[in-house]
Formats: sequence, C-alpha cells, structure tokens
Amino acid sequence: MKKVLTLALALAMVLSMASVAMAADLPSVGVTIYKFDDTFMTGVRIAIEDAAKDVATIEIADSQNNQATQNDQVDLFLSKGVNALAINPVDRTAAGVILDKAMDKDVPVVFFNREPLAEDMAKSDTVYYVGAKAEESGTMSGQIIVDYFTAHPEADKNGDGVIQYVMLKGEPGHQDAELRTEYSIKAIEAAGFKVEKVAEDTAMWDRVKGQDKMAAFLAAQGDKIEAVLANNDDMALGAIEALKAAGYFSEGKFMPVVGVDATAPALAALKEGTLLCTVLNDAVNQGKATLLLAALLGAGEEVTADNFPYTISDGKYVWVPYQKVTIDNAADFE
Amino acid sequence: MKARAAAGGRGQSLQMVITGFFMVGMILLLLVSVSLVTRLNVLLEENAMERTRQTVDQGNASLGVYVNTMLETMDYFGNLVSGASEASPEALGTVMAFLKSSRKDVAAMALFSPDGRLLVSTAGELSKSPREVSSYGWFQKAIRASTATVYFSSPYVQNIFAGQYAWVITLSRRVEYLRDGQRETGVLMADFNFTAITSLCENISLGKSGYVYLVDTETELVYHPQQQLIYAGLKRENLDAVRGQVFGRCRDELDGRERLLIITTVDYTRWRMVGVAYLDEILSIQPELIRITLSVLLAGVLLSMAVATLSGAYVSKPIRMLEQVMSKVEAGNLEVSIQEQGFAEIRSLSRTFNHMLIRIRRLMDQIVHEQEVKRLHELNALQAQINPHFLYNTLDSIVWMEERGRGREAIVMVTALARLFRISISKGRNMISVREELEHVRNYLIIQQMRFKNKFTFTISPDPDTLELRTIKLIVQPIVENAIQHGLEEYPVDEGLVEISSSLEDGDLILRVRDNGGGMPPAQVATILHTPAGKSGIGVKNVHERIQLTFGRQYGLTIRSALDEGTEVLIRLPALREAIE
Repeated sequence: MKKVLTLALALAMVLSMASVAMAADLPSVGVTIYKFDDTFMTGVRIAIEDAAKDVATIEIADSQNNQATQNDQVDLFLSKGVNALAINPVDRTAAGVILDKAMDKDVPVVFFNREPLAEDMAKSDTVYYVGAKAEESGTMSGQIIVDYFTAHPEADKNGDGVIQYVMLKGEPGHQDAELRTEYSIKAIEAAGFKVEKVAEDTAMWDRVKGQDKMAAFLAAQGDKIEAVLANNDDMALGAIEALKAAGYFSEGKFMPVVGVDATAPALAALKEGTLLCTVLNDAVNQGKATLLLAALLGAGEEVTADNFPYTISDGKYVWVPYQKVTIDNAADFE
Repeated sequence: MKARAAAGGRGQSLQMVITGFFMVGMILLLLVSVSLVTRLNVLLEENAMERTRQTVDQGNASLGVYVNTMLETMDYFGNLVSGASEASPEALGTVMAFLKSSRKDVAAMALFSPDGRLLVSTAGELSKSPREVSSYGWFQKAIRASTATVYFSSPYVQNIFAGQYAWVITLSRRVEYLRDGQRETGVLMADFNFTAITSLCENISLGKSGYVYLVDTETELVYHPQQQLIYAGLKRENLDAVRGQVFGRCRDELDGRERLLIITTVDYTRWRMVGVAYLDEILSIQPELIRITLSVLLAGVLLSMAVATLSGAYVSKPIRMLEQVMSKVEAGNLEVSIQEQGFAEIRSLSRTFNHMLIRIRRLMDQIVHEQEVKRLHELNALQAQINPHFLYNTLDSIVWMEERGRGREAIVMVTALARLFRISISKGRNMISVREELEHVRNYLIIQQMRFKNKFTFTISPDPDTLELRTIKLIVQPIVENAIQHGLEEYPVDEGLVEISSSLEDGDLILRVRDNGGGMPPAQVATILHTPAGKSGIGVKNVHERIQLTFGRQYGLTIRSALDEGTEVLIRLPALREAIE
C-alpha cells in the first residue's frame, strides 16, 4: 500500500514537473493596455489573447489610463522575469523610460497602438512598434468625404463649393488624433475641394462626450454643417445620437458622418444607414502582430519573413494597414 | 536541597515542571511577539512607502493637469492656425496676445517660419538672428517631428527677445497654416514661467525634509528645490540611483541618511518626478513601536519568570516539607508533626498525616503501657509467691529444733515465719509502709540467722521519718536473700554483717542493703540489673523492674560492689505518704 502511494506520488511529481517544463518552453510576455474600457483596445486585447494560444504565456494588465500605474506594472513584470514586454503606453512620451528600464534587464519591448517618439525608438535594437499609420486613416476618412461629395453634389447645401465640416478630436496631443485630423483635411484639399472648419473640439475618444460636443455644435452652427469627421467611431456614434435628436436621418435629412475603427456598434450604424463610413483600424492584426513579435523576441528567435507574416519597415515598425468600411463590405468585418 | 536532590532522582521536581511550563509559555509569547513585530514592521514600512508613493503620484497628477493645460494652449493655437482659411500675421498676433493675457504663466508666444524668421510674437522683436533661432533644440525638434508632437524644453533663461530674461520652459510644435492659399509650415513656441511648476513641486510634502525634483530624459535636473546650491557644488543629489532605477521605487543613501526614492513619469513632458522621503522621518514610529513592544515583552518575561519561580516554590515547598517529615517518620521518629500550610490539598494531607501520627503514637503508648502493666502484674504475682524451698528448709529447721528440745527457739522461728507471711500477704495490698517492709525483712533475717547458726549479724537502722512512707512490698527481702546467699554464704567471712537502713535523700526514699561479703566484679555489677544471670539474680532484676514499672525510670536499684569488700544496694523510691495502685 505504502509503495503504491509512493509510486503514485513520484508519478504525480514527474507529471507536474513535465507540465511546468512544457509551460516554461513558451516565452512569457507581459502586456499592458492603457485602458481596458476602450472599445478598440478591447478588440486588440482579445486578439492578443487569441494569438497567445500555444505561442506564449501572457499576463495582461489594465493601466487604467494612468502612466504611474503602468510604470508599476512594468516594474512588476520585469521583476517577475518576463521574456518580453508588449506595451500600449498611456503617455507615449513615457515610452522612453519604459524602454530604459527594459533595456537594463535585456528584455525586448514591443510598443503598440501608441507610437513612441522617434528618438526613443532609436535607443534600442530590440524595440518595435506595431500600429497603424494614423495619417493613412486620416487620408481614408478624407477620401470618403471626397467620394461622397463627388457623388452627391447636393450635399454642399449652400452650394458655395466649400465643404463646411466639424471635427471631433480625440485626446489632445495623441498622435492619432492630431494626424487623423490633419490628414483627413489634407486629403479633401488634395482632391480639389475647399474646406471650412465650422467647429472643432476634443471629445476624448468618448461617445458621450462626442454627443455633447455635437449637440453644442448644432445649437451654435445648425444647418451650416455639411459633414462630420470624428477621430474614432465612439465619437462618431455620439455625434449621430446628437444628430438624430436634431431630426437628422429621418425624412430624407442626411448628414455624412465618418469615424475610424470599425467597431461592432459602428458596423451596426453602417447597416442602419446613419454612419456613412468608417475606417477599419485592424485590431485583430495589430493584436496578432504585437503578440507574435513579442513572443519571437522573448524566445530569442530571429524575426524573419517565415515566422512573422508582417512587413517590418525601418527595422522596427510594423504598420498594420487601415481599410475603408462602407455599407457594401460591412459584413466582411463582423 | 537534599530533599530536592532525592526528588530529582525519581523524576522531575514539581517546581521544575511548573517553571518549565511557564518557560514554554514565555517562549511561545516571545515567538508570537517577535513575528508580530516583524510583520507589523513590514506593514508599517509598506504603508509608509505607499503613502509616500501616493503623495508623489498625487503631486505628479497635479503637475500632469497643469502640463495638460499648457498642451491645450498649444493645441488651441495650433488648431486655430491650421484651421483658419487665411492666417494673416495681424489676426494671429491678436489671437496670440489674447491667449497670452488669458494665462499668467505664459511669458511669451511666437510663431516662426521654418528658416527661423519671426512671424508673430507677443514679446516684441528678436535679439537673435533667424539662423541662431533655427539652431535651438526646441526649434530643431519641432520642425523635424510631426505636428502631433509638442516638445518640452528644460528650464532655462530665455534670451531671444530683446530685453527679456525670463526663467522659462519652452514648448514647441510644428504647425501648418494657409497663407495666401498656400499651405505653409511654421514653428510655434510658447515660454511658460517655470515658477508655476516650481510651486507645484514645492507643494508636495514628503515628511519634514523630503522633497521632489524633476529630471529629463538624460536624467539631468529640470527642477530641484536646491538647484542653485547643487549647481554651485554646495549640495549633491544622487542622480545615479535615478539613472539605475529609471522609474519605480528604490532606496539610496545620501549624506548618511537612508532615503526612499519614488520615481514616476510626468505626463507628456518626458520628464520624471523623483520623490525623496527620508526613512527616519516616514518610519519615525517604527523604532518607538519596537522599543515599546520590547520593553513590554521584557517586563512580561521578567514578571512571568518571577511568578513561575514563586508559584513553583509556593506549590512545591509544603510538599517538600511534608516529604522531609515523612522521611523522618520513615526513619522511626514518631515524635514529629507537620505544620499545616500551603494549598488546601496539602493542608488536608498534612492534617491527615498528623492524625495518623498521633494515632500511631497513641497505639504505641497503649501497647507499651499494656505490656508494662502485664509485666508488673506478673512480677507482683511472682514476688508474692513463697519460695517453697525456703518454706521447706524453715519448716525442716523448726522440726529439727523440736526434736532437739529447743522449743523456745522453735517458737521464735514459727513466730517470725508467721509474721513474715502476714506481711507477705498484707491483705492482698501491693503497697505497704516502710515499717512493715523492714519488719518483713527482720523476720526473714531472724529465720535465716537461726538457720545459719548466727553466722552473720544484721542491723536494721531506719530513719524514723521514713517509717510511715509507702513502698511496694517485698523488695528488700530478695536483695537481702541475695546478699546472704552470694555475699556471705559463697564467700564466708569471719564476721558476716548485713546492714539495712532507710533514709530520705533529695526528697526520695532510699533503702540501703549492705553486706561485707565477697562482692562482685564490675562486669557483673553492670549486667546484674538487666540480664538474668544465675537463678537468684532474677530476684534482684525483678525488684528493679517492678520499681521502674511502678514509679518510673528514675527509680530503682543502684549497686556498688567491690571484690572482697562487699556489696551495697541502694533502692530509690519516691517518698510517698499514700499508697498508689
């Protein structure tokens, strides 16, 4: 009896050690997300979790939109001895010190979604950035507006040949917010349209704030507005709520609204016919590329075209392309 | 000590056991206290560090809010510039002046062309050439980056405007604007008075002498409360620790004091805030806690040890005493008793033991007494018996006298014999007067003298005061018989003499029998009263025993004898006026 027990115990130990060893074979990756509440980042997070299966053991932390919290999380990950870090910075200017800290421990870092300053990226050979070129999304947003005004000349309500627009911006100083704003207008101008900014304000990426700001614009400028550009879908949907309240999207009254991200609620709004168009910020591929890259770096493997199916430009940037999403192809992105 | 050693031989002494229990308790208490203090210490430390961290975070958050307002100002102007369909210098100048006046902390704002020419400013003309301006770091960084990026400089004295030397930080960014239908690029800069940030940092309180300071990406000082002293080399700051830690929490030591460093990033600026707290200040409660705990613990230990020792002694002392007394009893001493003290159980045990001792003593006394009485009765009975041999010889002598016609002599002998017997019987009484006793002896001597044909003479000389005193009967006759038989008969002398007298000495009655016979050797004298030696010795021994059994050990016979000189026997009796039974 005793012998059987001993044998069983030994067997259990061997098995448990084997399973630990199996788990240890996978590189460990510490992931921080600037804020779990963010709809788009939730998509990225799910994509990372899905991609991690049989590739890496991951731990994901919510930085709660606080860089100090994120710093602590990075500290903790580093003291736990993770093989690689995947950081979605709260404050992109803090990426430099995070990199300093990681370099001190020889841990490779993949930043994603919020691009660190170029001079910080230049500090290390084992730092990468996975994200979308915000300029591209801006350009696409602008092109959509151009297409719409080309196809619907009557959208220029006052017929002055100038597109009067309002802009809902994301967080001030945020790379994406600034660039989307800048490049959307540039694209419209490049197509030969004249533009006039009726109003612009930050709605902090937030749907409720977007609704508030839009309602204020409508109250002040009313019918002068011919188009609404939003830096993301949440704010665009907020604007649509405000427009609906002002009588739009019924009895032939329409307003072109463009967003970015192609979130699920945005796709629903597309089908509903309220949202003109959105630009897919490819959460799935951003998450997947981030995790794959971090796992490869964590395992100490060389990143090649064979094991990493994304293009790396300038040695450390992975640009995940945006895609225009209209009512015609909305079904593909659900 | 002896008792404890004996107890130790058989097992642990009670006191040791009790003290031991206390000690185990104390050790447990000690362990619990030590682990408690250790844990508490860690908690206190954690707590103090967490509080410090929170203070720094809070200060950092306020700074972040302030920095954000600076950014917003930059953005606001940038958006205004880029959104306007025509940005004339005059219009921009108006907006800029308005913006500057809305904020007290804005020292100057200006817009430059990419080659460094001043387009608009709130601070008048440049004192530097466009070439110089375009070579500054804030200008270079802004022109190269995307529009989204705002650069923060470290604080410095701004001197590009004529006659102005403000201590500022410069924020710069690239802007795009329309000028005559053309999209132009420019560099927007704003100088913010550094005092706003200084006062924010000064307001962060970290203990009595703690402080915060700011460093840039190269870990060079941006702000320090004693910046001037440090630059002058009069003070030091341990920037190496910050370089090593980058951000987070660490400890260092500067000027002999241990410090806690909390390093965190300041939003948007690429600066880091370093909170410095002195451990002896934030943990000031710690040594006091340890001191209090230790002194309480020490007092507790000492008190418990004292209590353990005392209570051990209190419990075990009566038991040890009990044991000592019991071992005396074991050794045969029944004349002891135990003091009743200590616990109820011990008292009860002592009391019971004392009762037992008393009872044993009483039983022993009773047995002794019964034995004595029995022996006395035996002896009395024995004494009262007439030696048949004597009677036969006497009667034979009487017959012999009659046959020889010596009637008168026969009459004297018969008369003496009759008196002898009368006194012997004495109506069954055990005690008679000295007079009667001497009379009894006289009659005995008369008979013996006649029988031994006047081989000896005798005298009886009583003290008249003693005659009416009481004595147990028939004690002198056996001694006289012994004197005649062993003293005179076995060692015949020319003039045999038996002297009998009575006297009072020291309040005692003394009866003395002396002969001038052969005497006894000292060895015989020593043993004659205690061991039956020879058949007639029994008589002397019996007399001695009877006296002692009746009156006590201080009474009885004393024999003095010298060979060839004779023997003297003293009978000591109490001087009794009344008979006792």
